[in-house]
Amino acid sequence: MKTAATLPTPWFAPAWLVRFLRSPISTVVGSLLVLVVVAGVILAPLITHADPMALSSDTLLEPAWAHPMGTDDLGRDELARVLYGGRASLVIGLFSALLSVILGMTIGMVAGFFGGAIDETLMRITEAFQILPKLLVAVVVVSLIGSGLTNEVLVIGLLSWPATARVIRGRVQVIRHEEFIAAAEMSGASWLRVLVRHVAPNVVSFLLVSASLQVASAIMSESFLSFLGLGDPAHPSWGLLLQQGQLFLSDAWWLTTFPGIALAMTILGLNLLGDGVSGSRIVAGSRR
Amino acid sequence: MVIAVASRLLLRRALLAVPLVFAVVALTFFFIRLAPGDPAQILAGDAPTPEFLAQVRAEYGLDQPVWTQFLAFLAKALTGDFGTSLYSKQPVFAVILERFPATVLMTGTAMIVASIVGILVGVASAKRAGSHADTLISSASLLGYSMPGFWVGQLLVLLFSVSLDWFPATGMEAARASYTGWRHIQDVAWHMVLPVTTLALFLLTMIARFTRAAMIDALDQDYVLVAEAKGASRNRILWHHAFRNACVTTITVIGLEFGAVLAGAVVVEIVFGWPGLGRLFYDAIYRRDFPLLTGAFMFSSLIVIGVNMVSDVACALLDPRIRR
Amino acid sequence: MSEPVLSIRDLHVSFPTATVVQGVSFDVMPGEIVGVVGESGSGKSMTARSVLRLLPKSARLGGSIRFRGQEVLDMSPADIRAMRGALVSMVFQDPMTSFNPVLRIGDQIAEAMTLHGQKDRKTLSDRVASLLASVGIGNPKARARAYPHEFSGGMRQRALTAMAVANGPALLIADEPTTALDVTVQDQILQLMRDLNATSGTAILLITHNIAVVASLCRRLIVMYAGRVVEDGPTDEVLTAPRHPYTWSLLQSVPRLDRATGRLVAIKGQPPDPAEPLAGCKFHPRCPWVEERCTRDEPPLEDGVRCWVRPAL
Repeated sequence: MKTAATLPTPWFAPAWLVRFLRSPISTVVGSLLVLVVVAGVILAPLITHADPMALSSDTLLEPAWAHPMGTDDLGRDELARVLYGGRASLVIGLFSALLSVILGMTIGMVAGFFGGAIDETLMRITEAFQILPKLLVAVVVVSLIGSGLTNEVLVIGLLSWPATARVIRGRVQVIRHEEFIAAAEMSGASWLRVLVRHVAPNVVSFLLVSASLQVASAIMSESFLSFLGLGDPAHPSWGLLLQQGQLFLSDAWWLTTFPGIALAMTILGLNLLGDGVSGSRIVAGSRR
Repeated sequence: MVIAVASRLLLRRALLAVPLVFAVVALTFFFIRLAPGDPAQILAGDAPTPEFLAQVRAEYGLDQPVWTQFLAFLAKALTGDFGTSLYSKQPVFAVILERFPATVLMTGTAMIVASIVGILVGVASAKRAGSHADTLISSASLLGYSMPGFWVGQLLVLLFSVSLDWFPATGMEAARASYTGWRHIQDVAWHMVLPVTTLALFLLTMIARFTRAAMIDALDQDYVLVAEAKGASRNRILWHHAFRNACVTTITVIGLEFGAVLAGAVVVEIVFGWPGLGRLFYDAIYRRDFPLLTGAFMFSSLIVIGVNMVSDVACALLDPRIRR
Repeated sequence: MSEPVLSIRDLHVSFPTATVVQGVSFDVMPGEIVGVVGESGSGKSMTARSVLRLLPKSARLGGSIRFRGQEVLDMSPADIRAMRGALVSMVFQDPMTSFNPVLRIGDQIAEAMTLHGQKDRKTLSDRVASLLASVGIGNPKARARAYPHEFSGGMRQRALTAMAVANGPALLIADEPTTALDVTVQDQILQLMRDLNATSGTAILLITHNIAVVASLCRRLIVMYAGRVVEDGPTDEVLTAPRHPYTWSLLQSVPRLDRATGRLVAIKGQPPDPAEPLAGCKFHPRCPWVEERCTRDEPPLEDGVRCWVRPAL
């Protein structure tokens, strides 16, 4: 091992690549999957010249060279729709996960830091949120307030924080009584300063895992809403494409197969990534 | 003895569930108020006659202060009066009850199948933790966990209905034939295969993953070694000693994820045209039938709270340390 | 002289990475109480568990373990199960984790008997109550219905001992039975073992790192170091006139033997890493009397001592 580190690494195998390939297989596969999806979604205009919204008379064409994933009932190129649809799915996933992680971290830190009645109250609320069927709540709210990217992000983000809050609370309870916290409190720092400057940096590593799984779960939730017809028609996501595919299930297999593969690939990649980062295996079911 | 303990526990959990039920009703009320526009219009549909609008306004006391409105809403909801469906003009509660059995049939069957298979898979996997078979099972269940339920359903339809034509793709019974008796049961069972498989697959991956983790944890405990030293066989150790402990985790997970199970049932019902609650949700969204939507939501939430209560009690019965 | 109840000859236990027991031999006679002393990692627990074949799957066993003349290492799994808990039983270190938390204490004790053929419920519940009473648990009928979390640590260790002797075994292996208990409870458990031995004639193999425990209970003492027996003899002789330098330094590290609080404090240096082979006597890097041949050849166990030098101690 020692000799390997001192050897000059060739240009095709720089140190970071070697280290990456030596990490757990789930991390490698997970990041490759996510990388492929993200690259495909960002580079969509380079991959296909087709416009995802351009109608044509070539309706419901089977996959062929001109349309690698076929066309939909309005003659739109399915490959373009899958690539651009990923933008909606990923954006909603990222932002609602961001919202839920910030919310969960704040609630978890406050509950774990103060303990007592504050902790008790916040944890009861967290439990209630965990028991409530969050997807059905989301359905009702989005139906009432209307669909749209912002509304979807808000609703999914506001409903998905309990898991993060519980993890962070547990972690804060562990470090709460360590000396550096006591030292900071003794030196007269306000509780807000102690939380932000001393507690938060110590729980951030846990957020990495949580965030990756949260993005996966948010993308899944979004696809659920879209599949029920609550997606934003102006920004069709993968879930919306699958809803459309449902209408032509017996005529056009390509309309469900390809968006579904993209969706499953993304979620699998993110779950594997969270698995690898945490070191504890989600495969093994240690999710909480 | 067990019954006495169970009913005492159930009573205590029921008391804990009261605030939760209250919260669900309050949330629903809050959502209706949250929506842009006049709540009367939301409850009365898109183009109501002025008389109907006035009737809804009076019925829900919408000209009263918000608190009075809320109390009226709460009183109605708690007596099972969820309003009138805009589309069918029937009481929402009656519409829900009509659809409920189909959902219970499908979800219940899927839960039974998934619990049995998931537990067997999880235990078998834990028994050989670290082996190739275990890795394969774990990877497969992560894959299953990463696929949206409705997409799995769509793939099953594509494969087994469209391509192979083995099972019917939609509905609960054959449309053209009206079977009776045994033939009818067979027909329904035949229609159930694909939707139940879809929903069970989703649940199964979850149950298998958590059972495996809990079993590995349990098998690592000292009491397992003690049981072995007493002369217990491998199977007795697995089921009598380790699984008795692990199943508490499994049941808790089923309880906590039951909301997700119901949501899964909603989309599976849509994919397979199953005439249950999920289909009702879809129609309510589609027709903007808000009394029906909020009613179905409150009803489902109550079911979820109830299932959680039962799973809590079951856990306490199985694990004396939780009993207090 | 009668036949030994347990006879271990040249026992080897190895894992893929290391050999943890190497060439251990000793006998336990019927009704005898034998103490095995050593630091953690000396192979004493592995030796004890080999007797019941309770080692992890990756363990490889060599040599011979005879129980009443029958070779344990050749037994079928069914024969091993029939032996476990009935003829040879075991008490483990931590009473807090040794009971299954979701099963009643009485049912767990009864299980030891149902596994070996006793099915009659009335007989079982009577026997459980009398066992609990015999280890000094009051109101045994009611306590049998309790769950482990309702018992204190000392009560659990008593109940565990009751469970171990439920079938009247010929040999009881106690692996650090008092380590997790506080001192007064320790004494009660030791007294319990002494009574059991006196009333039923059960032979006891007591594994411990606490010399005080051995001194009060055992007539014979075996000292283990790095997977080997380094000294074997009557307790009073070994304690008053140790012949192996390791035993000597063990005793040096105990402040007062007449007070039953003597625990081993670490001796200078570290025990050898079983994964890395060490030539000669395994104690030589820490031995004050080390000679040239000690670093080259391993001494045999002769006359109860494994030492080339045998300094006057």
